[in-house]
Amino acid sequence: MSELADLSIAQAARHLRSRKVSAQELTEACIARLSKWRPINAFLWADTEGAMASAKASDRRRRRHSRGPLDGIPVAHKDIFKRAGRIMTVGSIILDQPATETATVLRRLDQAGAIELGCLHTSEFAGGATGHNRHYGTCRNPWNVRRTPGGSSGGSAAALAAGLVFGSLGTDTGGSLRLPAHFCGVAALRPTYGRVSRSGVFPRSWSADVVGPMARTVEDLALLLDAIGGLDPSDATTAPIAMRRNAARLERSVRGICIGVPRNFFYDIVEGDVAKLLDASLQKLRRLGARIVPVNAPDPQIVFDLAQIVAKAEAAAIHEPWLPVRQRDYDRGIVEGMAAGWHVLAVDYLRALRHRGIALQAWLDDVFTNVDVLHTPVYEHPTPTLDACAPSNPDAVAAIMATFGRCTRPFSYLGLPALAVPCGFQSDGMPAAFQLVGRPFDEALLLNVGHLYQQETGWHTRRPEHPSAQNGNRAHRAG
Amino acid sequence: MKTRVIKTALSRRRPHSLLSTVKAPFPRSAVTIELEQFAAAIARAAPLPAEIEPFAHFRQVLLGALGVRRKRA
Repeated sequence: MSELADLSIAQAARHLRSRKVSAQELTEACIARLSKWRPINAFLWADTEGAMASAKASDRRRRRHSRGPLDGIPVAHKDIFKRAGRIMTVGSIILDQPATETATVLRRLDQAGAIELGCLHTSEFAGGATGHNRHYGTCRNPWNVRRTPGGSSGGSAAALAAGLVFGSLGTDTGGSLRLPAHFCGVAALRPTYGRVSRSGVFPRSWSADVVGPMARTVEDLALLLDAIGGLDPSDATTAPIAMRRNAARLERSVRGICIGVPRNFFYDIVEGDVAKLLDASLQKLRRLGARIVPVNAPDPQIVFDLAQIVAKAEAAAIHEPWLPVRQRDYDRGIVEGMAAGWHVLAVDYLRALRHRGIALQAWLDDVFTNVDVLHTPVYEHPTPTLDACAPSNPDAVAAIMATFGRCTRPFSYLGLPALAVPCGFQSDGMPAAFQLVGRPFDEALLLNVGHLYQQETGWHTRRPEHPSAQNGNRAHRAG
Repeated sequence: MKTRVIKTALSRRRPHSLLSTVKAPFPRSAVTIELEQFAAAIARAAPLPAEIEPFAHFRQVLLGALGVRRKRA
């Protein structure tokens, strides 16, 4: 029965529609996997009884009327979204009061009939990227439990790769959706800044945070985005732009679409295996009819550094009520990650923020009037081991953390949509992904290209071996 | 007397913050390298027109990009 848990959302929705399967069976299949995959520590907690009750209600409801493709689909999310009456921990022990409201994105998924199975692991206050959390234990990569799943939405990526849920929401400040997707071999979308409401979501950096979907297929990302996106009166940063149905636009031909490959920065330090996989993905996209052209990007290093100024200053401001008095309740690495923010001058913070529109305009003029989509790595190096980035080894952690986000953070600052798509396995069996970046609010084109790529490749259909079958660093042979 | 009280309060105020109750948990020396990188980035960034207000300008460019299309080759 647990093979049902390997279906995509779109496949499961078709089975539900044709009554080949019930929401209760889908939920039972996920629950059956929970104990089997406990070693990866993807779930903070599961509400199996509540989920089964919701599944039963969905089965009853769908006899008369379905709420859409998510009705009856089990999901779970990073513990960063408020649900009225529940404590949202954000991976910390500091937040201990039940929420009085429900995040807009959770309400929208409720309205779409999705079944919430529990809450997923996150780095403390979404501040780490390795899966470590001293309060709730370490989240592990299902492809190899000795490797990092990435973060801060590592629980979402690990749960999806292991088939514990069909879809998940996460947040992304500097790469927290895209990096775990790369490390765990699943797909993730960072929507345009303003596309999805952040009301009821704990912030890391107001200027860069977005909420986005993660799933095993790009098609599923489209279904989730269609459910959660759009204007929200309770979040003034959401854009007054009508949501088009992305899921209905996935099959359009990409013949003639122009994909840019940056000449500078992004491919400068890509290591062997990852470079080969990225190159192969470009060849596949070319065979789909896309034109691949080199392009010069405005200096991404400046954008990266300005992004850090904004993110660190805002994180320090967010944690200003607790950090001076409860520093012992924070993980050392999380605190050090925002330490510089306490010393950024207001003048420099504002200058970094004011530069944002100028930088975005330069990228639109120099890149997106020449190409439709940009192709980059998500992460350039082999997947780090958990030991190598353990908090007990602060110097090593700092060196590894410096490699995270180099290819993802610039687009967070620019507010552009970015999609991570799995593109194969490295020689050590760990997955890798490429990143597609698009024009503001053009998620539909990214999803279209990513979906057609997945139709031509089978990477997203592979599943990791159970941890008991994993031998050393070998988790899965590349095909 | 009143003047002396104010002077004492000011002397206790930490130079990095106007909020006298807030204590930065890190000495500046611990994060000097990062701050130097930030300063270098600020120095390399293009000069900004005075009238740019941060969020409104960014949002204007973001929404204005809806019409951006690729130039014909």
